[in-house]
Amino acid sequence: MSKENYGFTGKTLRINLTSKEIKVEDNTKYFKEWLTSSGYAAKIVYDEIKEWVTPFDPANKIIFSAGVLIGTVAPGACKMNISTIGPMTGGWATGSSDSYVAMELKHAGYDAVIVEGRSHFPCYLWITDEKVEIKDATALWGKTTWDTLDAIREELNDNKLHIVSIGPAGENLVRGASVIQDRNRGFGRCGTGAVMGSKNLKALVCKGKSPIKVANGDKFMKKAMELRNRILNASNTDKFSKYSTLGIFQKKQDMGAIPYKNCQESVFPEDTDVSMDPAPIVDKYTVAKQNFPGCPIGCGRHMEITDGPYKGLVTEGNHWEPFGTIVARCGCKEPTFMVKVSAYCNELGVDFNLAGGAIAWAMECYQRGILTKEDTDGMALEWGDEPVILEMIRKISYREGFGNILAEGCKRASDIIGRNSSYYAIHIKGQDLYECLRGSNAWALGAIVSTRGGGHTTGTCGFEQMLSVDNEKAYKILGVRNVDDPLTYEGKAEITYLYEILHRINNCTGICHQNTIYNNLDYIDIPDIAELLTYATGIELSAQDLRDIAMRQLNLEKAINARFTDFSRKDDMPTLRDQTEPMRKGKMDGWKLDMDKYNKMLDEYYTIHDWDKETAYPTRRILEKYGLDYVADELERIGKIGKE
Amino acid sequence: MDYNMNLCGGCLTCEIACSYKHTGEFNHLVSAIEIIEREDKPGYKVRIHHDNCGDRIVCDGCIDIEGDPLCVQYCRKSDDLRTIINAFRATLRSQQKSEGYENE
Repeated sequence: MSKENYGFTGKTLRINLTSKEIKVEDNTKYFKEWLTSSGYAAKIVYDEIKEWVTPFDPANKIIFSAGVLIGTVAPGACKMNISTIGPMTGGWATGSSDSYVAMELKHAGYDAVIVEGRSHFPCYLWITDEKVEIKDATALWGKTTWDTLDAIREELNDNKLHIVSIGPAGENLVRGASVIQDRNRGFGRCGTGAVMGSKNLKALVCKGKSPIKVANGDKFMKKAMELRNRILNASNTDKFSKYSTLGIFQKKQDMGAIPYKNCQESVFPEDTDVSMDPAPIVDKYTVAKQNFPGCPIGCGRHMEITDGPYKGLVTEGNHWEPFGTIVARCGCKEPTFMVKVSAYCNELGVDFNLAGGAIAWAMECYQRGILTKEDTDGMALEWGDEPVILEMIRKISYREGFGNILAEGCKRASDIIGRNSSYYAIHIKGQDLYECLRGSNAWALGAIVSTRGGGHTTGTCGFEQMLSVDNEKAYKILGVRNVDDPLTYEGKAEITYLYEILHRINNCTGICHQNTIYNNLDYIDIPDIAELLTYATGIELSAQDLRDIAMRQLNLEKAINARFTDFSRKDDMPTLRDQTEPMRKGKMDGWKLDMDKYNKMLDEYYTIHDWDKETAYPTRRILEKYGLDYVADELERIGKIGKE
Repeated sequence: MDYNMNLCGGCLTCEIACSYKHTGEFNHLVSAIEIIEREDKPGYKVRIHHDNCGDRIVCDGCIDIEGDPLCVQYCRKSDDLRTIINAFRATLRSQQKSEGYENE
């Protein structure tokens, strides 16, 4: 009999959709090396998915997981993770989202659900502390995520239920299909929604009353309150609470970090940079707030658009991603379009970045005559044409006509079209990317080397783009200089290493990045999380233990990619456009990435990790340091072990 | 008793904290305070369970605590929830007073 666990439940639910077998497993043994959630998921993916498995194969597995701090009052402990072998890169795929479902999963009695096989009929999972059911979802198939939520609440007669579900995009195996929590929070990257679709799995619904216990309640509560107060009293918290990630607009504009017209230009045009500021939109249309469990910041807003082309729309939608990756990247001029397009992508269950990446690539190809109306179902793909963008999102989600090509993401779409169009496909490792990789070197490096394909939430330094960093304070906390200088190449490899650790520990425990030193140097740091974990679980964990756990996980992610992809140093390079073109317009006009210096920075990054500089593969030495001898043996067998 | 709280964002941290105060464990579905989605428009209402209601704790206003109860301490808009809880506490105290008078 296993002893009682604190913080985490120690139980995993394993559901085979082919055989309908449901098992409960003890996961306690994984905790010290992998923690919970994404760390645990990486271990399961590595141990259980064979090299011949492809993302849509029934033998692929998808893991829904809730971190050890979920369900407690730990600040920002609300992020759920979904991990698998993903269709965007073909390798390690993981996405996280604000969620009530993670908390409900733990109250149902489980830290994770491993879903295997493929159901013969559309289904959803109904998981409570009393029973687990595979329910028929035939009547839900084809519905949007919003209608799915309403239908499941009605069917189960509980209007307080929270769900994660896929929309038509996931059902139609759009490579960048997302999973949506209730209506407006997305597990956006990596195409986890398409993997759910491939398993005929429409949704996951959880609810329960199993309590979550902590080992040392007094100390845990004291630490949680100390961190909560630290966040509430920090400078900039009120602004972030009000505008969320949209508050960074002016700084992004100053830094040239706007991916305007598929990154051809680095800022919004001068005549629109005031009208495009999204903050006044938030002020004008906000009707209610939206916060998630434990969060002292509370950055979500419900908006009701009361005028203009999207009058009547009521939804939550005040985040940078749809604004940057669709509104800016497709050259739009109506700022409320960010609210409309956010809602539309979430209803259909498609990642903003796939939609924006593929459509902006197509628009640039159209601009240059590479694509014509003959390719695009007769549609003129003019910059900023919002009805056309919405129609293309619909076509992508239903894999209809030209949308069937764009549903593959910009990289594969350019492979299909050819005609030298790949230069305009802005992606890393096959995953569409909204980031500008010029003008912010730590941000660029973190986004480029990400094991899940391009993106800024697995190792970038968020506040490098703030332009007002206290360098001495940053040095004191991070031990690294130059955080205040986005254009230098020195110190950036080390910063990336630090944020790779932080982001992984956040995802393993459930803490939202925005509550940590990713967002603000006064917020939660690794030693704080170590204290919270020790008090929560009764298992002594130091900050160094957490750093080792994160690096063990990163090395395993590299090994997963080594097994399933051909990624090497060549895939840790900026996009062709970022390598060859200077920034255009704005204050940074003319600044160009120095590729010699980039390569030196990359060498330094590999050296810090003890990876082979030529191939980017982990060495046996570093794998053995983290107890991954069995991984070293496999990489040696497949010829992908790094030279020491 | 239901109270409108226009600035509530529905984070449920008050529920989580309440369950810890009364049970020593985190279990928001048994808490005496409940956050409910509004049906008429986006936003939330605060429900205080003052009568027996299934598995839920009956709210005693945490009158054993001199300052803010834990639900208020963990609220992002604690000023607003404090007003609600203090109103509830006042109702509770006046009920207790009148019950005490009747018993005499």
